[in-house]
Amino acid sequence: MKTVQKKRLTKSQITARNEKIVSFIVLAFASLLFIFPLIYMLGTSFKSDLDLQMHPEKIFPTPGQWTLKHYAGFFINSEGQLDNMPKWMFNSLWSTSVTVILTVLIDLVVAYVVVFLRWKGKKVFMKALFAWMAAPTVIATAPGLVIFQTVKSTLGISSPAATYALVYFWLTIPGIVGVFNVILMHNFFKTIPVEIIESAKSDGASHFTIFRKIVCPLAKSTMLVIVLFTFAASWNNLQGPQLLMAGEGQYIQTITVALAESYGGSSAWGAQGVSMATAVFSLIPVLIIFLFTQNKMIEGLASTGVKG
Amino acid sequence: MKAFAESVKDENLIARRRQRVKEQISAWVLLAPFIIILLLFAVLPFVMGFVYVFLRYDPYNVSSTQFYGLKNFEMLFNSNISMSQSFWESFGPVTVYALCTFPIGTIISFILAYFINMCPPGYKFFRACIYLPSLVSISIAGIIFCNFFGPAGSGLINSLLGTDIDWLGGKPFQDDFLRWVIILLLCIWSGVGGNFVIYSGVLRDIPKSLYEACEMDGGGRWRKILHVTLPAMKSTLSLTMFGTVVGMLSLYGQPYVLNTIENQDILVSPMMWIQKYLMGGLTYAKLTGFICSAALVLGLISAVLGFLQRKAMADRPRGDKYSVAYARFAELKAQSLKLKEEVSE
Amino acid sequence: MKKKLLSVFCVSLALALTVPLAACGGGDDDLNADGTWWSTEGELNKDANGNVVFDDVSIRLTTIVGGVDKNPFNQLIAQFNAEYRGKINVISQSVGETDFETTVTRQITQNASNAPDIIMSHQKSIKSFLDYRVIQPYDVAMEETGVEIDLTAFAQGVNQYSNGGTDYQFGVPVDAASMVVYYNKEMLAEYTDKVPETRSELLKVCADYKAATRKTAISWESSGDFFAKYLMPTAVLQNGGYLYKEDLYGDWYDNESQRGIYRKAIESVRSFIDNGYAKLGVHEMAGATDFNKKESLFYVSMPWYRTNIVDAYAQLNGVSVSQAEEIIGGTSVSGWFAMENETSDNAKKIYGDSHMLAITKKVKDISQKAAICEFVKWFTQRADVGAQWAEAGHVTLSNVIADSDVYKNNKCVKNFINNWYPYLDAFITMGITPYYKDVSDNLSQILSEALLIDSPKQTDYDELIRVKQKALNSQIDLLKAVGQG
Repeated sequence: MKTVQKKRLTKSQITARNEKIVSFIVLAFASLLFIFPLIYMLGTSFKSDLDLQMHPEKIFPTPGQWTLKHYAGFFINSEGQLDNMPKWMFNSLWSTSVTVILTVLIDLVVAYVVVFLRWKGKKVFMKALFAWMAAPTVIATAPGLVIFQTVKSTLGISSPAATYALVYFWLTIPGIVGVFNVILMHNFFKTIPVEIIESAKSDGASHFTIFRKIVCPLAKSTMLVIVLFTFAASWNNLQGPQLLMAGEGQYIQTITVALAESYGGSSAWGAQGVSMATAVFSLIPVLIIFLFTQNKMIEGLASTGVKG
Repeated sequence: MKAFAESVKDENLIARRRQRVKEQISAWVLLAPFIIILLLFAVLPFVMGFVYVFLRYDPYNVSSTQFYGLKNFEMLFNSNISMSQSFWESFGPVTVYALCTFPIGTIISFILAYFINMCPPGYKFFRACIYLPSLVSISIAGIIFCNFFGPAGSGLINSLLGTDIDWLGGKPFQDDFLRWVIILLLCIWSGVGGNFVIYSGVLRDIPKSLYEACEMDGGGRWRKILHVTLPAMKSTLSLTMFGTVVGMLSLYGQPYVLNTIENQDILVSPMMWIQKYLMGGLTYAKLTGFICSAALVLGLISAVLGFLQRKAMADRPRGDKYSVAYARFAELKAQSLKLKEEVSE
Repeated sequence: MKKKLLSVFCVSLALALTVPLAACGGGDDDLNADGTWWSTEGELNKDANGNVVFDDVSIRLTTIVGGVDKNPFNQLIAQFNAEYRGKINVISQSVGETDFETTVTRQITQNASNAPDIIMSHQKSIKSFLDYRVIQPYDVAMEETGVEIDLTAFAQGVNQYSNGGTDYQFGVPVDAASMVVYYNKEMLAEYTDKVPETRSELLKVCADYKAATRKTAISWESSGDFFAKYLMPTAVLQNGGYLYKEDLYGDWYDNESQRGIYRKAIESVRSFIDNGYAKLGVHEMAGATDFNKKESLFYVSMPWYRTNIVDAYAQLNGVSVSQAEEIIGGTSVSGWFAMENETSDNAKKIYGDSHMLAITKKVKDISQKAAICEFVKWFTQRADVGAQWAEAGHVTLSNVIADSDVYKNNKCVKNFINNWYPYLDAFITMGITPYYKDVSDNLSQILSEALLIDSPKQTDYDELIRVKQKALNSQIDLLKAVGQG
């Protein structure tokens, strides 16, 4: 009896070891495939013009031919003026950050109010939110544009600065009321045991204190999920900004729009290196956020079981 | 003594009532920004979407607005009008896309999740690598893939193989097999990560005892997958499928960045159709109402599809509203999370 | 619950309906009694000789010129501002092609502060601008201000559309562009002593080259934006066809002779590929690389890539840029697609786009109008300006500039520009139609789809032409029905 058990144990251990080896090989191969396009992008961005023309088959530049030329052109253009590249990055960075911060803030507040405050109309409110989540928002694309243009003309906005302000207001503010995030946060708050809140209340803590000292720290991993989703969604948003920025010149574009419009499709003359370098550049902020949040975020994503 | 107690009780009651009114007011005050923004920037355009469809509306000449009744829809359903025809044709490519992407993407993410769940050394790194492409913007992905599959003079694959294959050319449904493969590749590359992570989370949560029980009954690997793993994933699968259906109809970025100039007018998704004519210049400004009616039809179709699919995949055959099903699912999920936290504490 | 939501939705729908409907019924209140929509105010300062005295007049210019040729354009504006310091100041702004019409129209109709006083746009937009009444005529402005430009001294093929179908002159043609041909002088000399001008001469050179080297003689970027867009209409025109009827509809299929011409146009392009004289699906970079590696004799591309091509040739072949400029020459697609009547006037035609300058409705002040006329005069009559603009790849449409020695003796004009467009009067643009986009799209689709058919039959072409004609005409029907309201 004993020996049988021992034998079975070792057998399952062997299976477990074999499983690990197989899965390691499969995953290493898959990871390489998934990451390869990004490596290729990085390599190409350092290629010299001659390399680009003569050696498209190489992933990395010919040794000794590495060049930072495509990056150097970003900041100062041939006329010695500030190039568009930093402007695009700046536009993307600040608008995305504002969107992310406001989104997290508004989600926390709304979810707190819904879960921990007593008020009439809560049920109707939540039902409306759920109903709205199923509403096909594509219907709103064209009218949204018309309304935007009407507002723009009614306010008499025409100077580049005012246009910039309005466009970015229109990009960031509607972006912060994503119902999905609110529901995500709401669902998390519901898991916080009511007793904690009640005991804090009986200790004389105000709602603000409870919100700040108890609820927010607990919501950290949900917050991270929302941060990463919102950041990536806002940074990578293509269609909405494309509509709002039509005809306004390059100064107003975000990096994603600029990338799609300037270098998309069959790229313009000699733009291969520059477009790759720009792509590398525009990936950096997302990469940083990802590196900081990835472990907590992936755990959070896996356990909430939903994606943005 | 008794009277005192009564008055305390009264005071308590009054205080509590005051407290409640205070809470009521502060709740609405705190919700106000959210509600106002939502109404102004999301609900209002949505409602206007139902208004413009009844009008002839020209944003550059508002005084020419006319009430059109159902004329916009008559035009949209008139197959003799080439613009309407092209709108309906644009559903073809997205259907093909959805039919290919969903099964292949799901299978790949499932397999990867299955392996990651075995926790080989360095699995966290692998997980990050596989998830990373989902965060890469479609513009970047387009640039990379265009360079990958570019012509012989500049494309990586053609140069490596020494061939001159026109990967991105071709027309849909004729000999553009390769082009669909590329779009599919792009969708898989950038779409697998999200589902992969979700599936791996679900797989991890499946109690080990279930597998052991299955093993006791003499079940092999396949039976374990078939009888334990897949049933446990049913609700998650239906959830991700809903995302795919809606995503399919609003397909925009992938073909946009991969279209070459010679076939940009040929492969058009409904969303690209709308965008194209919305930005079609002065000639098309008069058609704003018409374009809105197309958007409305697209929106309704995606709502109906989502609804049908929810019904088909619902755990409970009663088929309650998606939102409720979702809430229940999320609640269950949250409860299990809570349990887990308690256990770990 | 459901009912409540539904009723809320219905109420808001009804409320929202009233908003646009309330805006209905407004008349054309910006029209003058005589049906014109422009006016003039203020008085002009004139010196003893009757010339206008400008006192720091500022005019806003919105231009469609962007991309590679934006810098040369800005340099020209800077030059003008320097020459007219204290008198006229031009503030230039550039808007991309896709949004040009709508952006400019919105700015002008809303009287925005950055609305342009003068626009440099494609001539094909003229009808759309007239429909929205955003531009005003030159003849009136010139009469009022006394600044004279000879409006007839422009290339006839383009200038005939400057009136936009009215009795007034609304646009002044500036320059034109289409697909042009670069060729390698050294290599071509081995096969012929004369640059081919007719189709048969060209085919002979191609055949000889293929026989000698087994390579394709023509390298073109058939994946480029302009390939089908410019070459299909060019091929149609060279074979004696037209792009649309007088009522703006197409009869490409319905009209028996046009159908034949359209078929011929397709075949004329296609035969280059079928005979192995050119390749299909060539991208910009690949085409240029072939040419610069001396794989092909001719390279069909856009004029503004001249410096890029010369530089790349020099780099790849280890010669200096000035040497490369001697080796690479320019010729045109004139005659390339004419299957019959190789020397007829039709065979000389080239289809392309042209730029025009137009005064917007916004301008009312007479001194501004005078300043604009002065600027237009400077831009379209000064030989050195024309030569500079030509170096950026734009052939002038002004006869005054074209006939001047400064322009004719310019190295770039001599080597390239004048060879690219040998018959300027035969340069054809889209003309006066608000449906230019649909005409152009459908035409180019005919070609690009026809080139993708394997071993096509005549009926395949006919079917393609029929489908595209139907697409165009039904689109015009739709736009007309909605336009009339």
